[in-house]
Amino acid sequence: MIRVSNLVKTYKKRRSKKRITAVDNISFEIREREIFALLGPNGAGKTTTIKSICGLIVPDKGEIEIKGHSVLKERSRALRNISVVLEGSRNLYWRMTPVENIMYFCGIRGKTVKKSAALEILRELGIEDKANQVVHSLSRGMQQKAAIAVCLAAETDVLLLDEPTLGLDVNSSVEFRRIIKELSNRGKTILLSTHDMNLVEAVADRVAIMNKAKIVVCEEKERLVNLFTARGYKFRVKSNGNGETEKLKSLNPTSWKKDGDVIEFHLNLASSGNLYQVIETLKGLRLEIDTIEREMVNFEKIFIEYTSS
Amino acid sequence: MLRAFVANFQKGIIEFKRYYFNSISGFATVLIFFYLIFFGVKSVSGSSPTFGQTIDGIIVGYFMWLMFIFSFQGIAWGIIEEAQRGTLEQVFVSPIPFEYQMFCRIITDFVINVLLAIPLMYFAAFTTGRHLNFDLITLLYLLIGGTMCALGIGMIMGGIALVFKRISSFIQIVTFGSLAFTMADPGNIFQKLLPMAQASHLMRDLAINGMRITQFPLSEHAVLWGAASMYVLTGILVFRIFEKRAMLTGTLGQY
Repeated sequence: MIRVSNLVKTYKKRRSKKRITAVDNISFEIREREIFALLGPNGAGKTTTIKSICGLIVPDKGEIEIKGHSVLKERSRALRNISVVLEGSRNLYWRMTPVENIMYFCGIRGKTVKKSAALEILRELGIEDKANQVVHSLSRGMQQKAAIAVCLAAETDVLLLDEPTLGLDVNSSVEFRRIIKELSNRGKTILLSTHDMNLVEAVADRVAIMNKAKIVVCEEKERLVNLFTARGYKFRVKSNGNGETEKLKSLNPTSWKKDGDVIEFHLNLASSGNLYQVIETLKGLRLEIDTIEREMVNFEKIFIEYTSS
Repeated sequence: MLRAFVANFQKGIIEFKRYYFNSISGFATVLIFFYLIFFGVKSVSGSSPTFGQTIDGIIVGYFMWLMFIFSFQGIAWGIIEEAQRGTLEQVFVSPIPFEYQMFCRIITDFVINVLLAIPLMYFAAFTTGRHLNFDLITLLYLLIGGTMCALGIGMIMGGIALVFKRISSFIQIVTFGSLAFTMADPGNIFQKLLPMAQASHLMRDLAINGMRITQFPLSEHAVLWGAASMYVLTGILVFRIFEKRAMLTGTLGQY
């Protein structure tokens, strides 16, 4: 559905001849009906990637195709298939109502939307009672829903959502997860750029983590979680006071806590086979193993693991 | 394409109504400035026998200038405002090119301006004791020809605004510069090719000598449309250059 190949984008630094690399030779593919999440810290290049996909930024190198149409060479044909909610709250005209915004944005795409159809979309999103209020008077969550409504009315196959839950309260964020999941069930292909780990955990099918302008991992979400679940272990052992601390620290624990004679440490093991080697090591040190627990992994941990290196 | 035109037209009307204070105060300012100019000229000319002709020329020239500045400022301010609001990028994501969207908005602005400026012009003339008696079709013809020059200038300014964002000082310079083009009578072909100069020149013929569209020599029509085409084409070309630059530098939606 969307193919990004060897995308490179650099910007000239102000008052300098140096160039900053915003996106460094990234490639990925988004399949039909998939929710693909682009994760990364600030400045990782997520927004540049999204803006390149929707033709707002011309990349230095690389190719972007939407449904087989090149964004650079067949801009109009490619853009016919996508609609986008960009970061921030200003995707709509604030002095116009949600219905007027829907009709306007569909109109400038050459599409006619009847008022009844616009109202139906707002009803599905639970904001039909706000249909005739100017966007300015709506809450942030409702404005975001209205922006999604504009995308839905455009009836494109692909939705690009840049930080859709940014600035939303907990309830609105939870509701947004439901909406995104529902859009996917309706057959939409969704590219999500976000910091919101809960959103990624709840809705994404595949995840690409960006760091320092590169994609450091691109995997099925379940595989990524399983991978980390298999690797994360928490050990609780009783110290025997024979200088075992140095030897245990040589195992490179990700965290370490000693409380009296109880030592608690976390290890990331590449495969479960290594677990037995660690047990052997602990036995060799004559440490009494209290508990070994497999850690429950959340996306935050995975994200930090990939982006902190 | 037609749907995009209708959408832009409806949006123009909606915003004109929603920002009613701005719309009304704009037209009040137009009238106040007109009276200031009128009474200023009157106090200087006194009972000069040519005062009547002069004031008719001023009325028409003033409203011609207004059409010019409303048109080119409409585009430039429109882009600046959209960049500030954050909606500019949304309009750019449309599969229908942005130039076309702008063109639709320009026509909307033109229609709104004509519908308000012409009655305002008659009202201004009436309240100052003048009776404008000229052909409305010729007036519209000249307004369209003249406004096309403004469109070209507006697209150039819009393009500059896409890259540099804050260009209000530059807009003001062009606004005052345009006063010279529309008020002064062009002497040679080069002066006639200045933006709006030919349209204003013919407008004075219309207002003072009662000339009609069919009475203008063919060469005058050619200069009018030659200048209009030149400015529109230059405007589109310059706009595209700046648009590409904004997309390369990623500054399209920034303000």
